[in-house]
Amino acid sequence: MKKASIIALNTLKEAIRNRIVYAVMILMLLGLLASQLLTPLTMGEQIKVIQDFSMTFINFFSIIVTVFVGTSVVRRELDLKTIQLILSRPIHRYQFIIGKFLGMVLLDIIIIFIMGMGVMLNIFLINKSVYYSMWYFHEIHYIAILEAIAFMALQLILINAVSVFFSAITSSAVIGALFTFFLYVVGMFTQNLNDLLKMVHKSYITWIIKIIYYAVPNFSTLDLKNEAIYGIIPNINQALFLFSYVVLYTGFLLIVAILIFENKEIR
Amino acid sequence: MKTIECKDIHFSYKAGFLRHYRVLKGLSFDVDQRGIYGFLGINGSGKTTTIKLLNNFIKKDSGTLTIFGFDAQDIKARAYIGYMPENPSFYVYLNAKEFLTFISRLKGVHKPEIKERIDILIKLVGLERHADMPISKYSRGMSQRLGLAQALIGDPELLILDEPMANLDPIGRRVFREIFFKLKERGKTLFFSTHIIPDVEMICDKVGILMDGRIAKEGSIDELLSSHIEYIECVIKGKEAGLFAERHKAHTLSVTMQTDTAIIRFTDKKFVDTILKDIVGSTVKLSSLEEHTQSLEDIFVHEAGRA
Ligand SMILES: Nc1ncnc2c1ncn2[C@@H]1O[C@H](COP(=O)(O)OP(=O)(O)OP(=O)(O)O)[C@@H](O)[C@H]1O
Ligand SMILES: [Mg+2]
Repeated sequence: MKKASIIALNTLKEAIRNRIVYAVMILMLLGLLASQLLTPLTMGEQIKVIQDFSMTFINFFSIIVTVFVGTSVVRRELDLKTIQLILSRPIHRYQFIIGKFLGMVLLDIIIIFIMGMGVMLNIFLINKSVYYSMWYFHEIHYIAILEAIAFMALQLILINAVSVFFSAITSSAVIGALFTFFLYVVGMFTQNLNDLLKMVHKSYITWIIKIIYYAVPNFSTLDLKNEAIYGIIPNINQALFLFSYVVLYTGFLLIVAILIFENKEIR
Repeated sequence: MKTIECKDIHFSYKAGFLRHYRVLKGLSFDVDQRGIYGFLGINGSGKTTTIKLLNNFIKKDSGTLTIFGFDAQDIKARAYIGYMPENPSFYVYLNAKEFLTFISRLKGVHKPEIKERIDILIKLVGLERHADMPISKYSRGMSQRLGLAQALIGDPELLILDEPMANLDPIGRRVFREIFFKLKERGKTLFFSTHIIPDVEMICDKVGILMDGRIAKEGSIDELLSSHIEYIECVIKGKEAGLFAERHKAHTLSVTMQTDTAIIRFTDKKFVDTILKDIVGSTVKLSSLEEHTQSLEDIFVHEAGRA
């Protein structure tokens, strides 16, 4: 665990010193700021639009950063051969993979923390300015929004596991990133797959859809943005279920990645 | 116990499902404790491949490979090794000090000692002026120096160096050579691959020449050279030198006469005794007796040509 944490901290350092990560983070904060300047729409609606926009905005960009960083973090070590300098020390390959993964999780938490603060502040300020102009406080479900943001972190963690997995099986960072992003998009549409299931009747097609439905990580169930605006939060059982889903799926992907990685030729 | 024991190693790179590219075909060699082993071979002969096997980066098809008695795949073997890759590359977002600190922590160096030890290492390889510069701005020679510094972290018993002297200027070469000698004095074992022969002649205690997936020739530099004697030259002085040379004509390769001096060349080592005895019983004097060997380079090229 100690070895893995040393790797994790170095991975985090790499990400934090990456200019692109910075640029996107700043872009995200600027985007939130810009939403302040949007001219008032209809009373009341504005608050909803801002909440929706803020969350969607940071969700989208944090996923872009995570896919980008996640796939390069392992691939780059292999491509630049810096991995040789690590694996020639007394360290197991699984410690390397877990360290890399944990480093990315740390990055997720930092990104989500900063962006989450940004979103909360943004919504709070807008609500306040609406109050001054219209003497009307819109009810905002801060707790629900916090929870939705926390579940975004779970999405990112799952994405990290997917990108570690693809880094282990593909030989290029770009292909790894594309696969990861593709899987995320499919995972966002799994709910629609369910609807599709009701319309098709050919049995083998139902089977294929079912397999996809269960095999693809179900990102859409981790998306609580819309519910949060209306203050609908998952009860403790649902939350626990989703949390264990992420843990199990992540664990599964990491184990497969480690098994592949154990026998990989380090060039 | 040997530092490295390599017995009958076979290895091939797999290209696609069916195509195999055989690189090592029954490679065997031993590296004794203490001393410097030079691993010679032409480009593409499999030196780096062997070194990757030692580091457990790739898995052998068959054979046994141990380091201080541990299987090379065992993580315990890693603790003994300091490894320097060929053309090392580093994390571009770190400077030399940060990088060496990271490696020290991985290697398990006692935390309070890390800073001091790194300063010593940076000085040793001559990077003091560049220690705080991002590694991305390093020249190739500077990278090579950092490559050696990181290999020396944790004071490992065995250093595996893949072409350590490539890209170095003459001063760098001398610095490295002196470091190698110091390490040897301290009882460390060095195993390094190269095709720079003068380095080998100056540094190595033992040499193995890798050819066609096997060790084609192995031994100390002296052994290798003496097995490749071209001729023995004996210079005789005295009034009867000409007569003396005439007497032994049957065994000689050539005789060159100058006034009162005969230069006799022959190939058979046993003939040395005969000639010495005869000198004692005659009026001529022995001026010099010398073996002329092929250079290591000649041997290397000769071996390479056979493959
Ligand atoms: N990853 C790989 N996949 C397929 N073949 C490889 C791979 N790496 C090396 N080879 C081949 O294996 C052979 C041995 O390569 P290796 O790098 O071990 O040689 P080397 O002795 O270190 O050469 P050099 O002196 O140029 O460094 C070469 O013919 C090379 O083409
Ligand atoms: Mg090589």
